[in-house]
Amino acid sequence: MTRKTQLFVWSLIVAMALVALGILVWRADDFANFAGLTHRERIKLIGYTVALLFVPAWLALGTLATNWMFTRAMVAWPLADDQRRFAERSLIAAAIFSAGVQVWMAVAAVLGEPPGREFGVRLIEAIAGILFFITANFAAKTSPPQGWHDPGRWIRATLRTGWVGVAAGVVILVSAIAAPVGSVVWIVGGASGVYVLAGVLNHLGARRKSA
Amino acid sequence: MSRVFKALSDPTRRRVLQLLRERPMSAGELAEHFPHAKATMSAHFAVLREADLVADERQGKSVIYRLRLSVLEDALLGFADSLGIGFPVIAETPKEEGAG
Repeated sequence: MTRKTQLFVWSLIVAMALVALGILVWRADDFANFAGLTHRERIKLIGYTVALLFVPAWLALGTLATNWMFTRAMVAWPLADDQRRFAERSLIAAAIFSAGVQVWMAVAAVLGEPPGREFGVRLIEAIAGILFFITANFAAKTSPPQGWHDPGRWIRATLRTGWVGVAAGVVILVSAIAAPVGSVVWIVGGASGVYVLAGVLNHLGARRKSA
Repeated sequence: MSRVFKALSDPTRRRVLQLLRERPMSAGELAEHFPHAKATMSAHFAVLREADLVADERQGKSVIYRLRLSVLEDALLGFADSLGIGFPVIAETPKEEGAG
């Protein structure tokens, strides 16, 4: 990854982590008085705390995984330039999206209620669906790693994974409009899981040497 | 986008993309599958390159073409193939009176 990308993404992660810690400090009284809160208030407090900490942690994990993929790939099969650029741009888009979600959740944690709750959740889900769709659509155009033993198999695997990702994006987008708000986490989590699984299985298959 | 539609509107170019789906091929290998002259095939390759549906790489004296489709472009390719876009429409010959 370029230094610029790393600097940008890690700066966002640190800022998001500081926002999360700041909110937690700001609501320290609520934690101190946890036993005195109503059940609903406790659920909200725990929910916001977990969400505020989860988003920067998830982004940090993704960034480390991407960096590991780049450095490991450089040893085994150097990534093609367009593949490298695409991965970095996807990471930047994910980082900006995560930062937006973090800001919304931080405001919710401060106010006690998310601003425009249902609309906000649906908007975030719709943006996530669009990001999925765009990323999966264009991922299929990237080149195989340099010196790959069977580029045709790699290209077909990437295209198949792209189809799954586009379908996942459509499912998320449609559910942002039509599904109950409470099902957001399950739908986004499920669609993401299917996309990741498809990617792993397809590319494990692409690694098999032809007979 | 109009370059993509133009590229996918021709059945020869669509067939080239189907062949490249198996593996990257040289211009010569691709041309062997078609009855067209070299210049015609070069023109087809140029249209595909302009539409960014294939990537080319020079290896010695050969040019190797590799597939470069997005999911939407793959969908358009399948759509155009299933509709038979670009194939000449064969008109029905009118039945002769008194025949049969």
